[in-house]
This record gives sequence, C-alpha cells and structure tokens, in this order.
Amino acid sequence: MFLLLSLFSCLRSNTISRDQLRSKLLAGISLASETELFIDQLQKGRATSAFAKSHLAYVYQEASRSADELRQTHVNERMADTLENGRAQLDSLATMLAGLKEKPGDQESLSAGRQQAARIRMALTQAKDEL
Amino acid sequence: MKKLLGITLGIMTALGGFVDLGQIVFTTQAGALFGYKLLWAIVLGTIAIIVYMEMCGRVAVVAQAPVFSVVRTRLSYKIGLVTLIASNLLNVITCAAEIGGVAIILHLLTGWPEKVLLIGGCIGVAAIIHLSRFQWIERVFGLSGLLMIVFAVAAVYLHPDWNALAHGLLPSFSQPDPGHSLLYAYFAVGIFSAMLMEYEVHFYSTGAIEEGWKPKDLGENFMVASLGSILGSGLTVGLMVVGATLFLPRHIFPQLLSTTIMAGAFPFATKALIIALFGAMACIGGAAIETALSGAYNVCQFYNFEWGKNRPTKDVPIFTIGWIAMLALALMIALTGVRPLQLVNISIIFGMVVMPLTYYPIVRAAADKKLMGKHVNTTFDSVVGIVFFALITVAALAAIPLMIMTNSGQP
Repeated sequence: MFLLLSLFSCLRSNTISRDQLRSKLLAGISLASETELFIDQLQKGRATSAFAKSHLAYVYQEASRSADELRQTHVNERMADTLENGRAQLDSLATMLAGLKEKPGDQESLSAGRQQAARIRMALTQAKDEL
Repeated sequence: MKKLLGITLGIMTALGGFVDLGQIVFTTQAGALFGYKLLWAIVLGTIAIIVYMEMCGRVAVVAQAPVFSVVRTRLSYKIGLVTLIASNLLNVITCAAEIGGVAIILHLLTGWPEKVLLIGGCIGVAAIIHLSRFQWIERVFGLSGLLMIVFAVAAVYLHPDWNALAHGLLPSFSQPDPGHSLLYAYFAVGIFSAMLMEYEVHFYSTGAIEEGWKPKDLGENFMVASLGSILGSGLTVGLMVVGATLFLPRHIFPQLLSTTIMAGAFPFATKALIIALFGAMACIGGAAIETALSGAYNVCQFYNFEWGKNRPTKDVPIFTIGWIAMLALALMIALTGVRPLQLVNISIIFGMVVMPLTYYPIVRAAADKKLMGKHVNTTFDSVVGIVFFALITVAALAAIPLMIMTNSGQP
C-alpha cells in the first residue's frame, strides 16, 4: 500500500493548482515568520550557540527545499508571476539564513535578518492574497 | 516506594507513545492550525488508551498472555500473521523516526554532525537496552521524560484563552471551508491514532509480565494506566496550547522538531531550552526503545519463543536478535536520509489502519469469562471497549483517504 502511494505521488504531474500554490506560499510565510520569531529569541540571548546554528541550518534546508520545489513546479500562465515571486522570496530567505547560521551571535546581522524576514513574509502574504 | 516506582511503567509507556517525535510536532501543528479546537481528540484518545491499557494489563496478568499471545489465539493464523507483519513494519518505521529524532536533539545540543550522532545514538540505545534491567529502563526514561513538563509550564505562561480551551473539549463542526474540514478531520484522526499506537499496549502488557505482576496487583494496574496516560495527556495538551498561543497568531506551521522545542522554552531563558531538549530526548529515546523491544516481543510472543528483557541473553537468543535487528533496520532506514517527520507521519496514519487488528483481540479476551474468571470485563467495560473499537474502525477507514486528500496534513 505504501509503495503504491509512493508510486502514485511520483506519477503526479509537476503542474500544480491554485490551492497547491497557495499551500506552498503558506509554507513560505510560515518559514519567514518562524525566522523572525527565532531571531527575537536570539536577540534576547535565549538559545545556546549549538542550538542556534543547528536550528538556523534546519530552517535554511527547509527554505532551500521549498524554493527548489517551486523551481520544479509549473502553473498556468495567470499564476506564473506569483510562482516566480514566491520562489525568489524563498531563495532570498535561504540566502539570508545561510549567512545567519554562520554567525548567530552577531547582533547587526540579526537585526538586518529580522527586517529581511519580515519583508519576505509580507511579500509572500501579498502574493498569496493576490491568488 | 516500590508501588510508586511501578507507576513509571505507565509513565514511560504513555510518554513514549503520546509524547514521541510524531506527537510532539503533530499536536503542535494541530494547535497552530486550529487553536484548541482539537482538544477533545486528546481527551478521547486518553480515555481510550486508559481503557485498553487496563484491559491488556489485566489480560496479561490473569492469563499470563501479553497482547501478541492474545492475537495469536484470538485471530486466525493468517490474520494474526498479517497483524504481526504490519505491527512490526510500523515498529521499524517508528523506531527509525525516533532514532532520527534522537540524532536531531543531540545535534541541537552539541552541533556535531548528524550522521555521526545517528549512529552513535543508535549504539547508545542498544547499549542501554543490553545493559539495563527492564525496570531501570522504564524508571530512567519515564522519570526523565517528566522534564517535558517545561512545555506545560510554558503553555500556562503564554496565557492561553481558558474559555476557548474549555470549548475545545467538544468537537467543532464549523470550519471555514471544506479544505479546512478535511484538515481538521485528518488531525483529529492523527491525534487519536498517535495516542493509541499499537506499541504502547504491546509494551505495557509485556511490561506487566516483565515486572512480575500478579492478580493481586490488578488494583494498581488501573492506577498505573490512568496516571501515566493522564500525565502524558497533560503534556500533549501543553504542546497544543503552545502551538495555539505562539504559532497560530503568527501563521507558523511548525515542520521541524527544533521549532517545537524552541517553542517549549520560548518564554524562558537558555536553561529551559536545555531542559526541553533533555525532556524530548528522554521521550523520543524511550519511544525508540519501546518500538525496538516491542518488535522483538511481538515475534517471540506470536511464535511462542522464549523472551524477557531481564533474562540472560543466552536464554532468549531470538528475542535478543529481534531487538538488535529492529534497531539495525531502523538505523539503515534513518541513514538513507529520509526525514524523521515524514516517517512518523506515515507510521501514525498506517498505524491507525492496522489498529483494529490489535484492539479487537484485546476486547474479546478481556470479555472471555473462561479465560479471565472473576477478572472478566464488566458489562460497562465491554460496552466502553466496543464503543472505542467502533471509533477506531471508523478512524482506520478514514485515515488513508484523509492523508491523500490533505496531502499529509499540509494547510
């Protein structure tokens, strides 16, 4: 049964519906918002260095994976710009996280990262609302 | 003191079952999506697991027959074998996910490479099983799992809406759209399933025999099953409240174990984070041990081989090979790089599908006057057991369609 379901999911086309794109944008909003929340914690000194680096690396992997998924996804022409915008925002989030995970104690990077995460979240929210 | 320590079997069983990797993330996700509206599923699951833990503990003690001996005698050989294969497949998948979870937590604590920690963690789990007596495993993991109480404290500290929380005790049938209704049903089934995972009753009933319970101890059986489950349930509610208060307003759908752990320590300083990490490691590590041992117990009990954690290895060779094989297979799966949370989602939903095959024989055996004598089910026990069995069957039928329709619970 599990193999059949896996096969079924592999056979599915890469063209996604409006609802599926919305779901992917929601996942992006969640990652950006989570980044803001975690940076707040880091600014208050509420995480160990190992936790900060490891957690930021996990969020970075998620953002990269989500961006890759959108890169391999197709939508109808009407939603193409939204898809591209979403992918670009997630790429931008991943790039920011890649830098941040190397120096999670740097207050300047944290402030800049938090602002960027907020901008990404708002851009993704707008893209979702326009769908 | 001995009686007090006996409760640790119930605590470890419940924490390893309720507060394992899947439930930690799954329940927080439910809170992040629906606030407190799925609280009733936790309450329902808690009552169901208390009912069945008590029944299977009673059957184990009176008939000296743990769950898989009952499965063998109450179902036909073929159906029994299907149940054995399905249960152990689920045990391996769940064990792989839990070992992956242990590696994630060790990585969050140390920052060391995750693959190395995966192998090291698995060897550590094997060493603990090999070196410890059954009672010490349950005491150490049951009691250290209580560190998860930090989530309950955080939940209170985050000022939940108590009124909304009370309303969550009743199912909510009004969702904004059909998609939300499906998601709501998916999470309800998932929470119910995660609280009734088969390995909990396998482990509990076998534990009762490992601990040498006698019919005179049956009064404690209910207390152990209830206290452990209520405690696990309280922590599960804490996870949901944290999801509802911290994540829902920020539109965060937590997909990472580290996100949930961070949330548990959110209002506090670094020390709380470390406590949350150790608490989660105890629960997830305990679940890894429960699933590995359950796999070995199941095979031995089904085929009537010698088994027992407290017996010398040379006296129980198949049992020993069994749990080592479970861990080795789980490690191989985890090393492929498949994400632990993907594995645990599969195990929760497919666990629901095969659940009726585990719980049906328990209800039948506990109601068998010839087998149970004066300890047979009362009419009330049987009615409650059958009602929950009907619910389990409905949830089992709905589990896979819901998983497909909601893309495994993605909002």
